Amino acid sequence: MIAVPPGWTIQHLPEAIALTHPNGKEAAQIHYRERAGKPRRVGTLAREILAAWPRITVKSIAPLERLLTIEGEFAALLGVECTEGGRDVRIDLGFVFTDDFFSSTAGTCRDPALRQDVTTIVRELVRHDNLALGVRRRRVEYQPPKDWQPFRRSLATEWIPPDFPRHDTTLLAYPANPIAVTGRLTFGSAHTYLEGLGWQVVEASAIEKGMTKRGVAFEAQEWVFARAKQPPRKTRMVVLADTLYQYPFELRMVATDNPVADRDVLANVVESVVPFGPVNTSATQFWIE
Amino acid sequence: MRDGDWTLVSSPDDSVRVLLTPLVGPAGVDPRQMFERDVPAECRVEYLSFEERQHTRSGWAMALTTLRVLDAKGVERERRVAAVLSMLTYIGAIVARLPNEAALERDREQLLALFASARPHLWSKEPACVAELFSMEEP
Repeated sequence: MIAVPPGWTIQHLPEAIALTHPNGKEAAQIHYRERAGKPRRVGTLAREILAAWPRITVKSIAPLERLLTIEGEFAALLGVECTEGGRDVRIDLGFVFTDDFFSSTAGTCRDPALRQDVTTIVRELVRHDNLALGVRRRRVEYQPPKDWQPFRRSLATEWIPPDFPRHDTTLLAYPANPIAVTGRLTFGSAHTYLEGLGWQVVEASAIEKGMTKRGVAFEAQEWVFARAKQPPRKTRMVVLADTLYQYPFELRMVATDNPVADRDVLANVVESVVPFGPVNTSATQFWIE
Repeated sequence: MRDGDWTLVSSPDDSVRVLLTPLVGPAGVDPRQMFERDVPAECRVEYLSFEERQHTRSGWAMALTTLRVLDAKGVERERRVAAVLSMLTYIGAIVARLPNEAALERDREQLLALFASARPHLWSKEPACVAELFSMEEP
């Protein structure tokens, strides 16, 4: 949900709203869709939206600008210079990404005198996009391992190496867990979970402690687990944590392997984790009684 | 070359055509539909061999089958050799279409090597991680 800028008028469309500048839609208009579809790459979304304007010719696209909304959601802005019937048109695209959908904001400015204003308004609308999703289990940002491929598992992603399954190792990136809501994951609770599935943890290393370069504390442990008629497996689990979230990652491998390179892959992913910032309580406290 | 969701690769003289299916979820998938695609209505299919427990070079489970397409008079119109691949929870197929048995024998080694090189492409339009959202490239 976005606010209507002062002086602009609002028109409700079936799946969107159109905001029109006080000087009329020939001056500037902004279209907003809150549930615009499954999240996709910014480039894909931008190309789709621009292709839907058949009279518009794209001249240039500015570098993508990233930001967070005041609710802490991931967002992107893209300025596009276009022409339409020989006239310059500036399009400002904004996207807010959640785990399940994205919202889109598209400002179209035909009056050169208003361009900066409209760009600023679109930016602020995106920044204040009120999706009210609150504190929840969600994907955290990290850099995926180079050349590995993703196997999506709901909010988690299992990464497989290029020579999988002969190289029988996977890296599981779990969603971030809000500690206040889901409780604190411990290695002991991970062992208990495995034992509930019929595995037995037969060996566990001492817990290592560390800190990423971004200052996120983590703990790591390796354990070997086995069950009848199946070869033993080995896991290295790293759990990063700040005051609000835990960010678990797991490297699963054959017990007899000692893949230094795979451990480096996991270490690089862990180093790249960007924790969620402090929660803006005024933007999210509707969830907190 | 794209053929719907399928990808078509042809030999330089167009005598051998190799079709790659997209990876699909296994529920309700009958690989024969993949093998028998574009068989003319007046023709029938005869399966000649089926070899299970094969593997690609990177270890994905693979089954191979050979079939021929016969016209209403029983004359062979086409020979096909296909690999069905099980990759995680997905199934995909590679179907090579050749004019006859001689052509298959001529190209068999090359086709088997091609099948053995199969690997999944798991990137999709729906991003698998947050970092991917901020890409301007297509997956």
